[in-house]
Amino acid sequence: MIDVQTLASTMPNISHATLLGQFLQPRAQGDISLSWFEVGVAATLLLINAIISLQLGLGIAKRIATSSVRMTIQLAILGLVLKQIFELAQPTPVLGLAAVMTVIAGVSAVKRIDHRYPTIYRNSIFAVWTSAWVVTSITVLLIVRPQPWYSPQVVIPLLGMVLGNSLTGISLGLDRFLSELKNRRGEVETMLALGATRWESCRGVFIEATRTAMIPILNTMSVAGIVSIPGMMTGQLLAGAEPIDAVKYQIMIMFVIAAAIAIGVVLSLSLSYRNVTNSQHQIEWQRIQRP
Amino acid sequence: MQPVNGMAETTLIQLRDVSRIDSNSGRQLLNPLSLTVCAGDKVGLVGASGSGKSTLMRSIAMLDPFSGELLHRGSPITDGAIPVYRRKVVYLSQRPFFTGGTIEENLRLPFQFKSAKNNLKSPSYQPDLVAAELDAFELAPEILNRASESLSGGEQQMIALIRALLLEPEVLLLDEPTAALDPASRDKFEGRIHRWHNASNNTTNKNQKEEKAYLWTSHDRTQIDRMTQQTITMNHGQLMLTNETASVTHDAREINGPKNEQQLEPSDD
Repeated sequence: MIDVQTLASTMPNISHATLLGQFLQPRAQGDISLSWFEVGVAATLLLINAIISLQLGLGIAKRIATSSVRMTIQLAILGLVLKQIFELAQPTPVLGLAAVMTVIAGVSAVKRIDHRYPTIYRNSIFAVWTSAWVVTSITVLLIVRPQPWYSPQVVIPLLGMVLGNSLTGISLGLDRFLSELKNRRGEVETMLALGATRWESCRGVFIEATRTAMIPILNTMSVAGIVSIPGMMTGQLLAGAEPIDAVKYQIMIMFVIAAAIAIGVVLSLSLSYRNVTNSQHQIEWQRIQRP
Repeated sequence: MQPVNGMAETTLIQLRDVSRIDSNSGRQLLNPLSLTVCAGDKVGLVGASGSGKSTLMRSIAMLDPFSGELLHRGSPITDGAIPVYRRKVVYLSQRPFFTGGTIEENLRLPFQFKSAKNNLKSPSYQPDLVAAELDAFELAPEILNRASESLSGGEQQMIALIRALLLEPEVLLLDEPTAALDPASRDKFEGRIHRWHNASNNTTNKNQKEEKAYLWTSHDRTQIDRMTQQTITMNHGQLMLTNETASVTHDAREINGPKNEQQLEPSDD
């Protein structure tokens, strides 16, 4: 019979020593820092993907490479910026970074939308800004209450999570709203011709777009803890937090994110609806165009 | 303009220098034109595809932004009154469209709009009237429970006409309504329009006097001859064969001469 305890204690040492030599020493408990070499190991996993793509002629090897490099550079810059801001511990740079993140989220939300209208960027930024900042402010000032209130360790990751989800929702919602409006043009115009107001004619499309935008967060909430352990909770567990504390935080953040998405989506869709219709109960089709 | 049967010819719609420019390309879709539609008018609108027939019809229904002035019974239409106006001046497209749900739900839909609920003069949905309409088109009552996608093109267009007629419109804007129909469906459609126009304008009861007109676009010259009394030809967004300030009732008739068949409206010639 094999002694389980012996096996458990010797296995890691053997494998580390024999496979990767001195680079992979068993780390001390609570130490979660990675060396650049360790990050490199993860990168080689993606290399396998790229090789498969080349072999099969999938044509995405280049995109895998560029998005990997892009992601690396973005996160490296974020790390440097956060390091600076954490050290400064002043409200202005924290809010400045938050503002930049917000605008980028607003612009990104429009990126993958097939149909656009002239003021869509302005509306998207406004919707992201309002929804994310209202919700994050409530979370920071009333729920988490860090000292000082602008603690970048709290504000920036929280806002980042809210922004990321809000922009996905807004993007999906706007895309669906504008493409549905175009696809159902005949139906919408028939309603107008039979005496519908602009809202009555667009309501169905508006509702469908809202529903589409909410699907990802509803899916995430319904499988949270069963299929996946959400990112924030993963981070807290890795950092050594108590599971129950991590769970409470995760539940809180889910509600916060869902609220931000709902506000952002309804806001962006309302503004869009106002911008593609006019007071004469007409749809201004010529404003809706492919970029 | 002679009073006929004791009633003067009523001006229903007046367009004054109405024009439309495509805001993206800057192209002139409709050159400034003026037009008067009077009660009893049966106007044919002909011209090549892209000559502006649909644009003109959609402008009359105020479905697109345009510059110029549009008067309904002599008054401009405020923004808020446009939905109510569109129930009186109904645009019927070549291809009928329906929302999801059954035919009955589609027929009831316009009666759930604010323009119906907030307007006391608006008719209400009457099932027996619908039954009579279906009967007139030789459609089985069961059609009410069917989904619009299960209907043939001809049936769909008849339902679309019934849906429009239930609103008791004054003016119908018929944009190539029978272009996709077989001859039998086309005949039923034409017959119904005929009876609708006829019943309203030949009524002897002055209290029930309703004044109606329609504009009809078609590429079928014989249909235009059959169904209309005046013809307007359009070319590159411009009215041809009528004077610039044409009241179609008078000027177009001078050019084309009165049609002798189906002279059913109160006529002044």
